Amino acid sequence: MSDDQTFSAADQAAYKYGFSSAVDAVTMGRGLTEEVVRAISAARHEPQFLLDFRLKAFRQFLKMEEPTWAAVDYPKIDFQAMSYYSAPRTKAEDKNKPTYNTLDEIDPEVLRTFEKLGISLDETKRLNNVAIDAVFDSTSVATTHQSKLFDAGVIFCSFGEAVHQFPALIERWLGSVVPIADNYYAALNSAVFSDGSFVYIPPYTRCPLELSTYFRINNTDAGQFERTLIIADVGAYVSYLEGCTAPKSSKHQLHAAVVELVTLDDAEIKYSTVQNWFAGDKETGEGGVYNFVTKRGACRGKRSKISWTQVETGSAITWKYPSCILLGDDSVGEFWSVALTNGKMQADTGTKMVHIGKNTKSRIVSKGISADQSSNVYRGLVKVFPKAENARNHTQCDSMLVGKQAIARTHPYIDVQNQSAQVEHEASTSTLSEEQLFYLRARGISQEDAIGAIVNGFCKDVLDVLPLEFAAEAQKLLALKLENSVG
Amino acid sequence: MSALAAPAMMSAKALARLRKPRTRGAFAPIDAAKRQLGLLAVSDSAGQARLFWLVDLTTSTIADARFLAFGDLPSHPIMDAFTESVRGRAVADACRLTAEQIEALLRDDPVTPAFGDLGLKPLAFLRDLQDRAEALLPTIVLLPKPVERQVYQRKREADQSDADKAWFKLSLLKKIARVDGVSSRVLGERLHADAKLSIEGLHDDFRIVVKLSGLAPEQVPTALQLIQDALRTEVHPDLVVEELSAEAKP
Repeated sequence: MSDDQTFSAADQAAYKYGFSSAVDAVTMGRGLTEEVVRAISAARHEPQFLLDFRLKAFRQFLKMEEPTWAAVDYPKIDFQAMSYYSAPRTKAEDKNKPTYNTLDEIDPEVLRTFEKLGISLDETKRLNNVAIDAVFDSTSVATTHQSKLFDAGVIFCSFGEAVHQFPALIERWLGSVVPIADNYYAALNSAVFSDGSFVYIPPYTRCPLELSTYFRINNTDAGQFERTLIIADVGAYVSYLEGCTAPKSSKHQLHAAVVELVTLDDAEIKYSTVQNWFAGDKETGEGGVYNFVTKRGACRGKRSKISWTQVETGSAITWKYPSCILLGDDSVGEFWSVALTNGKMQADTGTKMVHIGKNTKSRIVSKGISADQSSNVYRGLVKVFPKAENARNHTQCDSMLVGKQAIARTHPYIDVQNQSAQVEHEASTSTLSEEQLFYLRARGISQEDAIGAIVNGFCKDVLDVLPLEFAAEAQKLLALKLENSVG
Repeated sequence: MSALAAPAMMSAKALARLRKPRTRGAFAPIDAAKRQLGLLAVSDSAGQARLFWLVDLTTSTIADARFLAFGDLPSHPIMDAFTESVRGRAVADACRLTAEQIEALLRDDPVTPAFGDLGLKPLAFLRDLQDRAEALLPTIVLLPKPVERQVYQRKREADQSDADKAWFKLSLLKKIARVDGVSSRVLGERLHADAKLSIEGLHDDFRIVVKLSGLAPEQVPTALQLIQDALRTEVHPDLVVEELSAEAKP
């Protein structure tokens, strides 16, 4: 990984979130050892069970090999060359001053950073019904609308806060969906994870606000290893959205997150992601975020439902397969995805639907757009266990190629062990060509609007299921990313 | 959070509290500091619930209480009934409340148990919670009162008075109609027919900004006071009437 370089003004305009903020932060030295794992735990004043969890994961991580099966090509990551903990300094660290856990205690520069990103943490300035947990490098700096959510019994807080306030709840569910030995990056995350969001929705409660977590990497030397745990109790419903950005840097940053969802009887979680990490230099491929994420939901209850919706437009390498384990009878899993790659980006992404309960249903709609010299791979698994009577799956996998050097591949895996199952897979590949654009432009439509119309038409199925507030943003983002890739 | 006591095994009272608890919520350190009370917040070891008590540290009395439950289904109505019972009690008294007393509050009739065959088993976590709360009390400190910032925040629904509820539920047009009706009548009755009023702003923090015309300048403060008094009597006791500032006038 090379040193930081200055990017041109044109580069800055292409990725408007690529600025970095001068924040007074506490950053641990580089390197990954057992002492570092212990130091992270100590810095966060964690209980013994969590330290044990981390150490077990770290020992497991040392035994594992970095996976090589994904269709992505990148130089071997030097895990000793990065820092695993960086947190903005807070007033709480000054022992002589009282702390009230209010916005006044946060570094104003951090607040300004989120304002610049369009995320206001000041509740009096709120414009819509969205509660936000803002994660800056390794820690959550603020969670908005907590009082209103608590009144509804909804717990929405940083993972660190949850560990201190609800330790038994964390101990019970942490690692229950993604065990520490699940994969290489899940083991790494389990050892060094810092903050993230925790959500619990009580029985028969519809969360009164949309919940959202915004992840910001600011320190270009530090990786981000957040953990998200969402539990929807009997008959509960929640819609959750995560967004993410990082500064532009010629260095690669590692983002290895773990997301665990649990739904009990009749509960539903709708999890949406708008991913916009810095994807590296378009021409040289220098810099950008390595996004190695493990996301999994367990539909434990009868008639429960988990729906993943994602719009991915950024990160140099994406390695992500949001999955559903359909344990409860009549449970439903959905995966709606748009993955856009351009420049030198590489994405190996898809989903897993594991049918275990009876009458379980799953639906996969994946739209891949690859432009320039990028590579976009859909990799999906549909597995029907022997006891999964009457399981149903429908997979629709569409790819769009923009330009002559882009690559799109599809690797569907289907493993059916029950004869009553009905599994369908359909796929298509199309191109966004100069002829199509010429046709639209000849009718007085601008280049930008023409690209937007074609891309939005292609992705309509997925954009339709995004929360309304973010669908418009996602549409603009997709058109913007493809602006210089066509013609 | 398990199959322990499915809704069918609960009394109607417990079920009603499960679906609509009365005292659910949480207090933050800033809430305690503002009210100059101590915040006692503790979770049980079995992961069933967390209580939040605002305690008057001079008398050890619980001034206000809330809870968050996240355990088995019965933990929600149990904590709701328990939290309602402890308000106004001394911490020591609250920690002596027995599982039988709380369970009795959740029964539909004196002889039928609230949780069927499970008896008092779902209430077992209360003892642990009470012990932890009692042990924590001596460590609670009073935070200094924070510097107040004049930022209006609408009351949470549970704290709203009848007047608040009647006012907040009105649409903006209905609010304007009510204010206009009362103001015009007062102006006509108490001043003279030429006086005219237009509503320039109707804010969530009870401020009403008006523009008066047809009055001598020295009459304006009196007119504003008369309108405000009438609105406070007939519409909402917190309403404040202000004249449109000179800078804002076209």
